[in-house]
Amino acid sequence: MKRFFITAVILVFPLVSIAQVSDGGKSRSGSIYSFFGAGSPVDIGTIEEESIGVFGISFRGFSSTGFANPAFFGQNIFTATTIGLSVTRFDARDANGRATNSLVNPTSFLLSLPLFEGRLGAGVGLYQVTSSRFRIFQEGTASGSGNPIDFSINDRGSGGINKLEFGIGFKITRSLHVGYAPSYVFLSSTTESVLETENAAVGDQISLFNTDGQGFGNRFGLLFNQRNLVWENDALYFGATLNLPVKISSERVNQFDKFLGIDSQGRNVVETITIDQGPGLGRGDIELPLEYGAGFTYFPNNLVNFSVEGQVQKWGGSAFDFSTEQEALLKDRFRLGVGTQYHPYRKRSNRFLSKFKYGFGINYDTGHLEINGQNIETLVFSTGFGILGRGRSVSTLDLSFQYGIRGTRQSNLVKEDIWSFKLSLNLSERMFFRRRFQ
Amino acid sequence: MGTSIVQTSENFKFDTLQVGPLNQNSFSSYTGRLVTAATGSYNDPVFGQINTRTLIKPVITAQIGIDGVVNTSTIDLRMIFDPISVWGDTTVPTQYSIYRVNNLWRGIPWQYDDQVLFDRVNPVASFQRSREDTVTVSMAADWVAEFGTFYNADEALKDSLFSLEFNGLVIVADDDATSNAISFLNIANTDFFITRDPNNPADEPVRFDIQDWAYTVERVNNPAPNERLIMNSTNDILFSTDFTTELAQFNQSNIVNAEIVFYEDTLTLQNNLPAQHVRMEARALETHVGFGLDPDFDITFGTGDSLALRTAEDATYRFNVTAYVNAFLFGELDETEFFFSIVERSGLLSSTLLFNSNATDPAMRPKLIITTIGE
Repeated sequence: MKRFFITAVILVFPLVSIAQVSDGGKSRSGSIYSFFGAGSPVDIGTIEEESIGVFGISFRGFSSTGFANPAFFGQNIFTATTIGLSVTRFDARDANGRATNSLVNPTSFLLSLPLFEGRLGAGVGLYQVTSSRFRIFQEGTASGSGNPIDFSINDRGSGGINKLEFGIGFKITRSLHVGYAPSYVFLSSTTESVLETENAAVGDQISLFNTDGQGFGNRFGLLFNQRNLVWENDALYFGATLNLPVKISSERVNQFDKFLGIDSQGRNVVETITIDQGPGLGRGDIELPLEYGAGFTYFPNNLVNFSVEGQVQKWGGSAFDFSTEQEALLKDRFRLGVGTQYHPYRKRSNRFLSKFKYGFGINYDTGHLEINGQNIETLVFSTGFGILGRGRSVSTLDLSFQYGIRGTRQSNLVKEDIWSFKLSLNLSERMFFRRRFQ
Repeated sequence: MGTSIVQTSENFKFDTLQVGPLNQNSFSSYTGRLVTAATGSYNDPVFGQINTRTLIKPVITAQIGIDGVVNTSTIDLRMIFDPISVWGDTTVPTQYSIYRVNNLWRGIPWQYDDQVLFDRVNPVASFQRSREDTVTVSMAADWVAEFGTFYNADEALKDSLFSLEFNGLVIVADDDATSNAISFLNIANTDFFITRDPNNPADEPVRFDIQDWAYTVERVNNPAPNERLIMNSTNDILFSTDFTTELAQFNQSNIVNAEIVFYEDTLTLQNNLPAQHVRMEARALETHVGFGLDPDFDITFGTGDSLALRTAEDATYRFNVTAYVNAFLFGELDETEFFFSIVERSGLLSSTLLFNSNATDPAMRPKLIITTIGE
C-alpha cells in the first residue's frame, strides 16, 4: 500500500505541476458552448467509468465509487476515496478561424465507506455539475456623439454549479439495493470582462459579472443484480437513477471599480461599485433539470464486462432567468454509452501487460443546446487502463484518454475537437472491521 | 472565433441628454496683481462697449541718491505691452492719458467692478499706441514733485504716508467712445526710471518697479442675444446647471465617460468683426462644482474641476466630468450644480458666444453625453 501510494504520487505530481505552471489564459478556458446558461453539464462518473464510455448507473469500478447511483453504497466493503486531475484541450474552428483552449481541473472528490459491510453504506462527495469556462474575444467600433471608439473586449468565464452530496445506500435483498443522496447545490460563476480602448476619455475597463445561488437536490438510485444468469459465475447488473429538478435561487451582479475623486489628504478614492438592476442582473432562478437513466452491465466472467447505459436530462423548459435568449436554446438531452473492460490481472500472469485493467467505450450525446436549428452533439471515444496496487491492496490508479467531436461548422456554429487525459487515485482499504481471533 | 453565436458582456450605449435650463449667475473676478492689466476701450459688435482702466503705483524704496528726489529730477514710465494680445482695431493707434487717482485702493482685494475715481484734467502723461510693445512717457513735473515729497519724507513715516495718501495713477483711453482697442500691459516688465539731473551726464537713470496694480472693466451695454449665451472672463455673466434629475436614471449603470459639450457660435463671431479687427476669444472653459467661502476667489484663482479646451475642428468645448458623475451616483458628492466659466488667470480679457439650450438647431444645444457599458 505504501509503495503504491508513493508510486501514485510520483505520477500525479508532474501533472499537478503542469497544471500550476500552464499558461494562465489557455489553461483556464474550455468549450465555447459553456458560455450558455449556467455552463456545460459535467460528467460525474469516475475516471474508470468514463474510460469505458458509461456513466456509472449500472457499472462501478472495483475500487472506485462514483456518485451516479447511490444504491452502490449499499455494496460497500472498502472505505474508498478518490481524487483526480483532468487535462482537456479544445481545438475549435468556425467559418472565421480557429482557437485552442485548454482546461486543467481537479476532478471530483469522493469518499465512501461501509456502515455495515455489504448492507449499508454511505458516501460524501464534492463535484462539479456544470462548468462555465469560456473565452471570448471581440473587436469593434462604437459610434456615439463624439469620435468613434475602437475597442476590444476579452471575456473570460469561470465557475459553475457544484454539489456537496451525501449518499446512503442499503441492501433490500441479496439482489436489490436502493440509495438516496440529498445534496446542497451551489452556484458560483464569474465572467471577467476586460475592455481595452485607446480612447483617452474612456480608457480601459474591467468589470465582473458574478452569479451566485443555492438550492437542494435529491437523487435516487436502484440496483438490481442477478448471478448465474446464463452460465455459472456470470452476473448482470441493472441500474436506474432519478435526479429531481433543482431550483437554484440566484443573484447576478455587475462589479467594477470607479475613481470617485481625491480625498482631503490627496489620495485617490477608488471604490468597488456593485449594481444589481438592469438586463441580466438581479435575482432569478436557474434550474437543473429532471434527470433519469438506466443501464445494464454484464459480467460473463471475471475477466471482462460489457456495459450499456442511457440517460435523459430534461433541459428543455429549464429556467435560466438571466437571459431569455439563452433559456430558449436549452433542449432535452439524451446520452447513450457503451463500453467494455478487460481484467487480465485476475489471471495472475507474470506478464507485464497482464498486470493492468483495460477499458474502451463510445459515448454519444445529443447535447443540451439547440443553436441556429442545430443540436450541439458530441461523440466521444474513450479508452483507459488502471494500475493496481501490489499484493492484497485494492487501491488503483486509473488513467483515461478521450477524443471527442462536438458541434458543427454549419449554420455559423463552432466545431470542437476535444482531447482529454484524466487521472484518478483511488485509495481503498478495508477498515472498520472486527478481526476474529481463535 | 465563435462570435456569431456568443456575445461579450459589454456593449457601449450612448445617452445624449440636453443641458438645461442654464441659470445665469454673476461673480466678480479679482483683477489686481495679475500678470497683465487691461487698458483702453473698444465697442465689440457682439459683446458691446468695454471700457478698461489700469491702476498703477510705484514703489517708494528705490535707491536714488542721498538727496532723494530734487527739483531737477525727471521720472519716465516705460510700459511693456503684450505684443500679441489686443482686442480691437489693429491698424489705428489709440490715444491714452495718465491721471491721478483720487481714491485709496489696493491691488490684492481689487475686483473688476470696483470704482476708480479720477478727473480727466491735468494729465500726468499722454501717449498713443498702435502695436508697439514698448512705450515710454515722461511724467509731469508737478507729479514728480508730489512723488518727491513722499520719497523725501522722514524714514519713519515714509511708508505709511505713501500707503495712505499717495493714490497712484490710472491709464485710460482718451475717449471711451472712440477708442479703437484694448491693450494689455505686462506689469512685470513695466517700470519707472528716475534721473536725478538729466543735464548731468554722470546721473544715470535709476529703475524702480511698480508696487501695486489692478484694472477695472466697465461694460456699458450687455447684449442678450437670442438662443445664445455670452460668457465673459470677468465672470459678470456665467452659467450653471444641475444634473440631479438627469443623472438619477444612471444609478445602476457602469458609466465610462460623461461629457458636457458646448458649441460656439463661430459664424456670428466671424461675421460680426470688422476687417483688421481682432477679438480676444476664450481658449478654454472650466467647470466648478461647488465653491468655498469666497466664490469670487475660487472662480478667479481656483483650479476648476474640469477643463475644456476649445476644439478647433468643431469649435466645441468638451468637459470630461466622469469622475464627478460617478462620485455623485456612487460616492459622497452632494454638490451637483456645475458652474461654467472662462479660464483666464493672467489678466487677459476674453469672451465667448455659445448656443443656448433653446437654440433652433437641436444639434447645437449644449449636451451631456453619458457613455455606459453593460449587457
